[in-house]
Amino acid sequence: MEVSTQRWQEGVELEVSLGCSLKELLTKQPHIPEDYLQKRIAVIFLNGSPVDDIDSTWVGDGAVIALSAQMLGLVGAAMSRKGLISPLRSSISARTEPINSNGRGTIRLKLFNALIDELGSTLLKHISTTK
Amino acid sequence: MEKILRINMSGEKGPEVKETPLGDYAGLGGRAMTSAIISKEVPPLCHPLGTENKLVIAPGLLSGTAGAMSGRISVGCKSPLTGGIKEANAGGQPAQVLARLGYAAIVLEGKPKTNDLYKVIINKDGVKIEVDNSLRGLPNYDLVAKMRSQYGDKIACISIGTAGEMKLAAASVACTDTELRPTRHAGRGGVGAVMGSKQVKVIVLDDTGMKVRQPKDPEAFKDANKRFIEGLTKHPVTGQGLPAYGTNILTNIINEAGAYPTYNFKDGKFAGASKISGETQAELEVKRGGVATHGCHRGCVIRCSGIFHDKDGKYLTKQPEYETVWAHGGNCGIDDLDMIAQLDFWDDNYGLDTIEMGATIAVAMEAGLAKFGDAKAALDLVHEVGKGTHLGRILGSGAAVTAKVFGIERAPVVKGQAMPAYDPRAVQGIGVTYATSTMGADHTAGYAIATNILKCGGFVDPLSTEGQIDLSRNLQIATAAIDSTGMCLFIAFALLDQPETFQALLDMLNSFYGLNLTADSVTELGKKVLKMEREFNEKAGFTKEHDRLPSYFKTEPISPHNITFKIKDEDLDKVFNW
Repeated sequence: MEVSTQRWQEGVELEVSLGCSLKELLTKQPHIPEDYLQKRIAVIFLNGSPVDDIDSTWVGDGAVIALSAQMLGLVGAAMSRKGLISPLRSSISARTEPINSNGRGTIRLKLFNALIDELGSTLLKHISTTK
Repeated sequence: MEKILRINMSGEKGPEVKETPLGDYAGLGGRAMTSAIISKEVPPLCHPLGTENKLVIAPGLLSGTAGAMSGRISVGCKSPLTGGIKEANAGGQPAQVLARLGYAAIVLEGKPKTNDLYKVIINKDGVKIEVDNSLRGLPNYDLVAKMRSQYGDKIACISIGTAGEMKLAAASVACTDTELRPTRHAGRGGVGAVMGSKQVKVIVLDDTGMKVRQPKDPEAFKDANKRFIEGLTKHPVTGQGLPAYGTNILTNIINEAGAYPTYNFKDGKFAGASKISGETQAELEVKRGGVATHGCHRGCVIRCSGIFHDKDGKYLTKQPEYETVWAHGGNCGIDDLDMIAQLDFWDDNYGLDTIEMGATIAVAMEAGLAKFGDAKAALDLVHEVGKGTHLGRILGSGAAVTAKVFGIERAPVVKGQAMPAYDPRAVQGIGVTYATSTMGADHTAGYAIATNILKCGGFVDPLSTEGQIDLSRNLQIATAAIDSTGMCLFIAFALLDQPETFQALLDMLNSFYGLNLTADSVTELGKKVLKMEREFNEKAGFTKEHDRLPSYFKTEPISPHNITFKIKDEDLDKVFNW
C-alpha cells in the first residue's frame, strides 16, 4: 500500500483502541518508537489544538492527530510541545482532561514535512485498515 | 565598509555624489544603520515622497566577508504606507557586492528638479549617475535583462519596477539573486515608492576587482564561522526543514492550528491547504526539473529558497515564500500553486510587496471586485496595478486604502500595513507584536526566538497577559538586534536551541572587528534601535492609540477556535516599558 505526500497531509483514517493517552496511542498502536516521538516529533495537534503534555492528553473517537518536526518562525515555534514560547498560543492549547471513551474507534492521522518520509512507510506496516 | 555614499538628487546640475566617513554611524549595520540615519536626519513630519525623506540602503556588519548567512540588505526610510519609520530587508547578492565595494550605506537624498529617470553604476572605479529615460516603464525582469546586456553578468542590481515608478505605497525594492533575477524584495512599507520619488530606477553594483573583506583576526574568524555553519547545519529547522521545504513548510502547521487567515481573515482554516503546502510545492518543483533547495545569495548555508518551473518545465519564478503562498493563496481562497506562482512572478516583476498585494486582493474580493477563489481575476487585479490604471493605483496603495475606497470594514492592518499570515486571535502573542511594532503589522518584528539566549528579561508568568506582553517585548528586542547585524533572521532558530551557535556568531563579529561583544551588548543594541524608532514615530504623530489591532478582531470570533483578541489596550501600552 502506498500513501501519497498529499494524502498524508490530509490524513489517513486508522482504526484504534481508545481510552488511552496520546502517548500510549501513538507508541503502542501505530508503533511510533518512543525515542523518536520524544526527540523528533516536536509539534502535535489534537483536533486542531497544539498539545503540550502527551501523557495527560486523551484521545476520543473521531480525533484528528497531526504530527510535525520542529517548526520555524515565531508562530511555528510557538506550536512546539512545552516550548519556550508556547504561551503565545495558550488560548488554543489542547486540554488534558481524560475522555470517557473505550473500545474501538477511528482517528485521522496526518503527517507533515520530514515525518512523511521518515515515518510514513513504518506506520503503514502497523496499520490494519486505512481510508 | 568605512564610508557612506550619499547621492543628493536635488543638485542644481543634477545628482551630486559625496562620500562621507562613518562618524556617529560607525559599528552599525543593517536595520541599526538605516534607523539611525532616518531618525537622526529625516524630519519625522516630512512627506514620505518629498525632498526631505531619505532612502538608506545598508548591508549587514559581516556582508562581503566569508561569513555564512551575511547577505541580508536593509532598506530604510519614512514609510509612505505607515507614515512611520520603516526598515524592510531582503536577501540576494547586493549586500555582499555593496560591502565589498566598501560602502556601509547608500543614502539617496533630495529629489530631482526634472522628470528624468536615473541609473546609478557603482564599481571599483567609482560612482556614475546617468539619465536613462529608456528605462521608464520597464518591469524588473526586463530592466535587469537590459542592465545585464549593458554591464555583463557579474553585476548585482537594486531596482524598482513600474509600481515604484508610480510611487505606490505597496511598491518594493528588488534585489537580484545568484542567477541575476530580481526575485528578492525589500517588500514592506512602500520602500520602492520612496526610491521612485528619488527617480532612481536601478543601482547597478559590480565588485569585479574587489576582494573579500578581511577580518582583524583571520584564524579566529575562520574558526567561528566553521562553528556557526556546523550549528546551522545540525539544527532540525535550519539544517533540514528549511532546506527541504522552504518557508512554506509552515502552511500545514499554521492551518492545522486554526491560525491561517482565510477569505480575508474570516476563517482560520483553509480546505485547500495541502494543495499549496511546502511539502506539495517541493515535490512539484523537483518533478518539473526545478529546484527545491537553493540559496538566495552566495554564502547561504540554509538554502530555504528554490526555483519554480511551469507545467512545461520552464522557469516561472523563484520558490514562492510562505507569506506569498498564504497572501495570494488561502487568504484569497486560491488553492492552485501554478496561479500563485504566476502572482508571485508578477508581483516581483512590477515590484510589489506580496503580503500587501495578497491582503489587498482579499479585501477587493470581499468588496465584490472578484470572487474568492478566482485566481485569474486575482492576476488581472495585479496587472491593473502594474499598468497603473485608476483601479490599479487604488489597489497598489494597499489594503487599508482599498478597504476605505470600497467601504469595507474588515481591513486587516495596523498603522496602515497589512497583517501577515498568522491570525492574532488564534495566536494572541503575535497580536501583541502586530499592534506594537514600530513597523506596522509585521511578523518579523518578533521573529527572533532567542529570548533565553539574549536574556532580554525574564518571564513574569507566561500564561498571563503580562507574560504575553513581556514575551513580545523580548522578541522585538532580539529581532531588532539580529536585524542590526544584517544576518539572515532564520539563524534565530539555531541560536535559540544551541548557545554554542550564538556564541559562534558573537565570535565572528568580535574576531572580524576586534570587539568584545557579549549577549548583553547585543541586547542593548536591539533596545537602542527600538528606542530610536519609537521616538521617530512619536514625533511623526503616532500615539498609543496607533498600537492597536482593528476593533473587529475584538468582536468577531474566528473559527475553528471561535475566539477573539483578548489582550487589553492598557496591557499593550506596557510593551515598551523597560
